[in-house]
Amino acid sequence: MPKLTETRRACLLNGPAIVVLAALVAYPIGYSFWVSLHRQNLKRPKATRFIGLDNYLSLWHDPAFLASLRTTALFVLLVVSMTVVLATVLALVLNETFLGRGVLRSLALLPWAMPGVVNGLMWRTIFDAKTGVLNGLLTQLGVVDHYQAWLSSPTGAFFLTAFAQVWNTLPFAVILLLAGLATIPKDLYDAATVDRAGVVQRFRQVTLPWLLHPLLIVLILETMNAFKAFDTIYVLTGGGPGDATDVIAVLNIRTALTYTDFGLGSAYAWVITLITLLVSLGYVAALYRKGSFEL
Amino acid sequence: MSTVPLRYRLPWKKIVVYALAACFALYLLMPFYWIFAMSFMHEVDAIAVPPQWIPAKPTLENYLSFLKPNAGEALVGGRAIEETPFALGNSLVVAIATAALNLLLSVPAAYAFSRLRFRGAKLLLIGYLLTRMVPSVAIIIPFYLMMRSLDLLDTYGALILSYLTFSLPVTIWVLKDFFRAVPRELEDAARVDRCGWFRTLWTVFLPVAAPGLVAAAVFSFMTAWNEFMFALFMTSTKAAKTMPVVAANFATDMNTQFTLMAAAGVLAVLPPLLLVLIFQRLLVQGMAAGSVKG
Amino acid sequence: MAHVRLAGLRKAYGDAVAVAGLDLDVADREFLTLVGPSGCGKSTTLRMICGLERATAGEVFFDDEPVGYLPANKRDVAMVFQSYALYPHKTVAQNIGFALRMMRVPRDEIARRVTETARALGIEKLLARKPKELSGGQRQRVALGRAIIRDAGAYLLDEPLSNLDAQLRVDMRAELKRLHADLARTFVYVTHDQVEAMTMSDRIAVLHEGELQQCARPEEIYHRPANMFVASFMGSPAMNFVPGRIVDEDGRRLFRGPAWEQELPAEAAKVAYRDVVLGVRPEDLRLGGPDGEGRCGKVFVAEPLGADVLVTVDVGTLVKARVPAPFRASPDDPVSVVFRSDRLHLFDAESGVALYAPAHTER
Repeated sequence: MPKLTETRRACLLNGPAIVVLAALVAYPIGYSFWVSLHRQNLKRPKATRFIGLDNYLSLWHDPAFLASLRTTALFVLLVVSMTVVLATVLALVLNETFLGRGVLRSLALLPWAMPGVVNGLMWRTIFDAKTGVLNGLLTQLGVVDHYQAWLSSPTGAFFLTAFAQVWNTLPFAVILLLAGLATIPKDLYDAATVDRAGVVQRFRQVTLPWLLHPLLIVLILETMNAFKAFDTIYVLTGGGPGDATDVIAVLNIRTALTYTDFGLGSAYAWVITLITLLVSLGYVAALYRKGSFEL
Repeated sequence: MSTVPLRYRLPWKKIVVYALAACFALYLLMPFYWIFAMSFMHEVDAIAVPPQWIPAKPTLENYLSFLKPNAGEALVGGRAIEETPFALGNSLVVAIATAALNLLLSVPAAYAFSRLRFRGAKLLLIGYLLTRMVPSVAIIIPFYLMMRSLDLLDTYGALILSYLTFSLPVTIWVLKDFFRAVPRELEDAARVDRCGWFRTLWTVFLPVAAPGLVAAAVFSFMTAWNEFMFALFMTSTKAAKTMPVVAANFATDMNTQFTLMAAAGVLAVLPPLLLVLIFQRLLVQGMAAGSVKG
Repeated sequence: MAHVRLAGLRKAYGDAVAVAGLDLDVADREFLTLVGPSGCGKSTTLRMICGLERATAGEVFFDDEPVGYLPANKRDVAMVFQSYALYPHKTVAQNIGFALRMMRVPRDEIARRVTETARALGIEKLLARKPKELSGGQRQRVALGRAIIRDAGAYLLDEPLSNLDAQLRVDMRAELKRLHADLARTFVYVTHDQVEAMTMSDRIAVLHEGELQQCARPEEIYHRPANMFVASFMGSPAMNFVPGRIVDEDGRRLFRGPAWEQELPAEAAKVAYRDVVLGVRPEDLRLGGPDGEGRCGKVFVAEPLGADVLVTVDVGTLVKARVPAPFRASPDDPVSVVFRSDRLHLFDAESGVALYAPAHTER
């Protein structure tokens, strides 16, 4: 056998993956930046020309973009805070022993298997103004006296879209938090009980400190996910009514796909990329502190 | 013998836990139950006011209409109906191919991370992670242009290549953790039992790491199956349209029958749902270990 | 059949030296034990003999053939691992027969030898099971079976008993020793347990910080340890050490230290004047009543062991005595202490090298 150093062998083994990712991720990103420096519309290929940073500069006078930034920020804030709260409670419940825990555990994975598109489609039938079961349920319970067009009001659409998105992304957060809870040594609770800590004290002194790191991870990952949210919103509201749910990914795709404005679309994409990368640096740092890169 | 009565206290904790568990169970199950139930209803029952919570006259008509493409033309949303069987096939091919290619590329890489000490290992690992973090919108336009110049638009190839970009880094991360959990002494034992390098890998290491391989394969299968944005961009006909694209067609068509849409939704959810239920424990383990999959 | 020889064997990881130039001869059919505390380099040495680890320098010879360039799968060795390393996806029978399959032994012969081996180890009923359905002791036997089914030149055992519970370990110790006698093959055994080393080996090699301290027969190691490390590592409880000097007074040769003073036997006369450490094993102490002969001390604590009682005595420093039961004493009871003068060891205080040890005789 020819003698290879471990570094050489590692390079060889990683080679194919690196080549594929370089060709399919690194190159397109660079290409995307190049496109963003051009006026380029698929429908007018002859008009393509280099315009430098004009696409980026125009972003700051682009009402659609600015409104979408605000919508996205609110959407992320709402989705992430709802997800984190719901996921923490659900994880704490699942961490207890009770009859049917296994069933609930499986149920908690159900939304995760749901493709975003189907998620959107599902909530669309549920929220429907004329026939949706949300209306049916609320009427039967006597909460509202006649059917409402939930998705027609900007506020309603915004909140319900966030709600649908949360349903879809909840399992991931629950699993990470459950894994975090599972690492807490049972002895610590016994010790705290012997030291006369009550339920609340035990949660604050034992559970919370151990949960902080998983919570941070969840916070970061869910932020990025919410930031990139597209499938559910596209199907549920398509960005409307008006621009109430026009988050940046939806705007981006509409610009590129419907208006075929690739230059401006790429500029949008680059703004999204930069923001995501900034967040992901926090993620890398968090994982690094946890020692996930130790070999 | 006298017994001292225990002071009775309401088991508050139990009550709270059960109440919350019940609420969550309803929250998690009900939405899915509704489209599931609806997919077996006649249109009139599905839109009844007040809603019919349990189908009174269950029917398979909605599912059967996917098998009769010509009948579809009579119905509203006919094209989506006609495309559904093709889309299921396309999704299956693309997802399986993505999973297979993923394993092929990621097994050697993850093996290197779990068994070799090499310079730049950390950096490379962070590199993979950052690749994973790149949002799909960032590469979708150049990807479209690349695929167009390669004449791959509306083919499986374009989809498989694009899904590799999201799933490969995740697969490497997940596999690396599973591989590390395989005791090195097993490989040592295989060497002593006269296995060469490849023999050791093939007859001992990979079979023992099989759960990780399954988890990684399922992850990439699901990523590919569920993906929508690239599929929307890259495909235009039933030659390559995947299930999410067709399902979205149902939804964006204002005249679609809700029952047909629900049936399509259930079909689109079924494969990933079954995989999740079958491999539940493995996936949870893989997800927690890699903590990367969104 | 193999005679294993290590010549200047060395292993370093960067600056950290695990094994620092080891010369060792293992005779054909010998049971040699490498013993030492964790991190002494014993496992690394074994892995280098096996071929799982490449030596930084030096050479391994099997029957005077250098084998250092051969990987483990090309060497004529079988090994039992500390964690057993059973293949979890294979049955017991497949585990035991795996090496034979790799060596392309015909199937019916594999089946025959597997049954034979399993019968010899008393596990023939377990052949269809998977490792996770076995108890610790059963797994251990499978691991052994996987090694002894081979017709290897050398059998290497890396702490094979350390994961068993105490009772089982004692039983397996005897079985292993018997197995070696029956197989009549070269065994190299690694352990950190001095009792295992003492009870099973033909010869013991004591390692410390990558260096060979002494390699000799068990009795020799116990009764004539080459240095303080060997003296303290082999034997439980450890040998008592008392620092002091050697002085001549009135024509007598005395050991004198802050805590202890005693006349030395005539044979110790060769030892020159210097700082020394007096060593005496706990069983070589005699305790008497407060008025008895010897020096006075106070009982610190007494721990009954059944047949013996382990008494810690304060004679200015704490020493341990192992005396036959019954011996009743409460803390602070006065006692008299005698070190048997024909059982004394002297070590150089600086280097720890043995200066004098009694001739080894039956007591």
